[in-house]
Amino acid sequence: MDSLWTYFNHPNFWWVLAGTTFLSAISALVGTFTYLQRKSLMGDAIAHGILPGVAGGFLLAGEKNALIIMIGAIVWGLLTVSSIDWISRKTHLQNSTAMAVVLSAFFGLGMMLLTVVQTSGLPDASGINSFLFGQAASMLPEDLLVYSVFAIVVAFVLAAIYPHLSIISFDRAAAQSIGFNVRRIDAVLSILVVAATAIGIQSIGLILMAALLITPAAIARMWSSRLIGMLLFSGAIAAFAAGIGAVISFTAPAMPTGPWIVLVLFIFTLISMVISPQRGLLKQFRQQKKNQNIILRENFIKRLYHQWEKSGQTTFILNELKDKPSKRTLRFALQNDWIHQVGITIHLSEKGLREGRRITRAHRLWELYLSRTLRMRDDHVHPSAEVMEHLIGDDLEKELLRTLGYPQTDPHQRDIPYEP
Amino acid sequence: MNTWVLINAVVIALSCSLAGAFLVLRHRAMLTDAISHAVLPGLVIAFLISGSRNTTAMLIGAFVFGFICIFLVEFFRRYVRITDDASIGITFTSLFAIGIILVSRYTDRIDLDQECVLHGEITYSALKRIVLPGTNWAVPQTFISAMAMLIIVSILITIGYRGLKITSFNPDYATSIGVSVTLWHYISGGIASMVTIVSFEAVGAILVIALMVIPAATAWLISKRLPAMLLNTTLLSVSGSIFGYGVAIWLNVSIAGSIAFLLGIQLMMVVLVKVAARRLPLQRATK
Repeated sequence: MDSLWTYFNHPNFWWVLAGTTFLSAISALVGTFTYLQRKSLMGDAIAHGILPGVAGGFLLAGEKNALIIMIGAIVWGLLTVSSIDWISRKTHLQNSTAMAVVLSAFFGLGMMLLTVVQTSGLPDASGINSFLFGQAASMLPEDLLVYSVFAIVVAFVLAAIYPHLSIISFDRAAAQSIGFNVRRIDAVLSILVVAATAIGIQSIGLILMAALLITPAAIARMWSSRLIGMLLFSGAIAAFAAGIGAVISFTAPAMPTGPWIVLVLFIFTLISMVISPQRGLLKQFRQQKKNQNIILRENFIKRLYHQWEKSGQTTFILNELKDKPSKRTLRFALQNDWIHQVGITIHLSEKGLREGRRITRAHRLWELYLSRTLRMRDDHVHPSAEVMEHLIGDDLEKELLRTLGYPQTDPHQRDIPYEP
Repeated sequence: MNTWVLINAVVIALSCSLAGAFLVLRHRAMLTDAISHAVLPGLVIAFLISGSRNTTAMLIGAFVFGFICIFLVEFFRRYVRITDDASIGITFTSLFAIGIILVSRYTDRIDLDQECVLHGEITYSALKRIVLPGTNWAVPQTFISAMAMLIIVSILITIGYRGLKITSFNPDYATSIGVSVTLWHYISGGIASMVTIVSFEAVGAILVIALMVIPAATAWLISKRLPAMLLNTTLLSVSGSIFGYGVAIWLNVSIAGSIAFLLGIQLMMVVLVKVAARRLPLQRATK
C-alpha cells in the first residue's frame, strides 16, 4: 500500500484523475445519444479515421502539442464523417460499407504518417503511441486544460440542443412533423461525436474510443428507462472506469490505459446483465419462477376441484393423490386456507372450492369462446385453455361472460360453474 | 529480397479481396471490423500456450474467440436487448482490449507487440524461409501459408459460386427455391473469418478491413455482373498492393498502411469519375 500511496502523491496524479474522469463522462454523454439513434458504430469509424489528423498535428507542431493535435483530430474527424456521407450519397454502397472503406483507408494513411513521425527523430516521437491505446499518466496539466475547454464546449452544446436531441432520439418522424430540421441536428451530433472522440484520445486512445461511446450507454439503458437517468448513469460509469484506468496508468507505466478502461466497462456490462432491475437475467429468472409457482398451485387446486365435481368428496389422502403437490405449493395452499391438513389427509375448504371453481370457469369459458366465436374445432380448444385459465383475470372474465351470454355448458357439455 | 514482400502482399490481398466481395454484396462490411478485433486474445493465448508462432495453434485460438464473439453478440442482443450495432461494438472492443492487455503484460514472452497488432509485419514476412523439398528453393513461410489460403478460398468460391451468388443478390428467391440463406450466410462469414485470421499477422487488425472491403466495393461500382466484379476485385487489389508497396518504399513508410490508403484512393478516383460522368451529359442537355 505504501507504494500505491507514493503515486497518489505524484504531482500530476490528482490532475490526471480529475481530468480523465471528466473527459470520459462528457464522451459518454454524447455516446448515449448515438446509442439511442442506433449509430454506435459511427463512433468506431470516426475514432479510427481520425488518426491522420493526430499524426499530422504532431508533425506540424513538431512536438506533443495538445491544442494543435486536437485541432488536427477534429478537422480530420469531420473529413471522415463527410467522406462517409459523401460516398453513401453518391454511390449505391451502403452506409456501413462506406464506413469500413473510409475508416480503413484513413487508418492506413495514419499509419503512413505514424512511421514518418517515428523516423523523424523528433524529440517526443515515442509519445505518439499514447494516442493509440491511451496513456493517461503522460498527460500534463496544460494538456488537460486544453481538452477540458473543448469538453466544456461540448457539454454546453449538448445542453443547448438537448430538447431537439431527445426528441429525435426517440421519434424521428415526430420531430420532422413538428418542423425540426432533423438533418441539421444529425450534423451537429456528428460534430459532437468527433469532438468527444478528440477529447478522449489521450486518456483512452483512439483504437478503443468506440467503447467509451457505446458501452456506458448500453449499461445505462439496463438501469434506466428515462433519458436523464441514462445520461447520469452513463456519465458516472464512464467516469468511474476512467478513474480506475488512470490509477492503473500511474501504477504500471508500461500499460496502456485504454484497454483497462474498456475491461472495467465490460465487467460492468456483465454485472449489470445479471442484476439490473429492468432486464437483468436474475430478474427474468425470478419472474419466470414466480409465474411457474402460480401455475403449479392453480393446477393443484383445479385438480382437487375436478375430483370434488366428480365425486363430491372434500377429503383426500395426501399420498394417494395422482399428482403430488410440491412442498412449496402445499405450503401456499395451507397458508391461504385453500385446504386444511389433518395428519395424512387434506380437506378442501370453502375458499379452496371457490378458487378451483374460478379457474375451471375461466378454462371452460375460454373453450366456449374459441369454439363459438372463433369457430375452432371442439377438440382443438383445450391446450389454449390450459394456458389461458392462468391469465384470465376478473375483467376479462366479465367480458367473456357478457359476450357469451352467461352460458351453462362448455363445448364438451360440462357445466360451467358459477358461485352459488 | 524485397520482391518476396511484394509477392506476399499481392497474394494476401487477392484472397482477402475475394473473400470480402461476398461480404460487401451482403452489406456486412463492418463484420470484418468485428472479427479482426475479436480474434486478438485468441492469437495471444495460443501464442502463450504453444510458446511459438505455431500457425495451427493460432488458428484454433482465433476460431475459439471468433465463436465467443458471435456468442456474446447474440447473447447481448437476445437476452439483454442491447441494440444490434452496440452489442457488436461492446463485444469486439472488449475482446480487443483483453488482447492488448495480454500483449502488453507478456510482451517479453511473445514476439507480438502493440505495433504489430496494428499494422502487421509484412516487412519481415520474407525473412523466415523454408526450403521446398526436392529443390533448393528457399521460399518464405508466409508465402506458403498465404498461397495455401488463396487456393482454399478460390476452391470454396468456385464450388459454392451458385449458392453464394443467389443468396447474395436475391435472398427471397433463394429461399423460395429451397436454398438456405442462413447456411450460405455462415459459409461466407466463415471464409471471411479464416482469411482475416491468416492475414492478421501480415497486415494487422485494422488494415485487413481495407484489403477485404475496399477492392470489392470499388469493383461493385464499375461492374454489372458478378464474374466481372470478381475479376475487377482481383485486378484492383493487385494494382493497389503494387502501387501501395511502391509508395511505401519511395517514402519509407508503413507498407500495410500505404496499401490500405492507395486502395482508398482507387475507390475515391472511381467515385469522382462516376460523379463527373453523371454530370457531363446533363450539362450538354441543358445547353
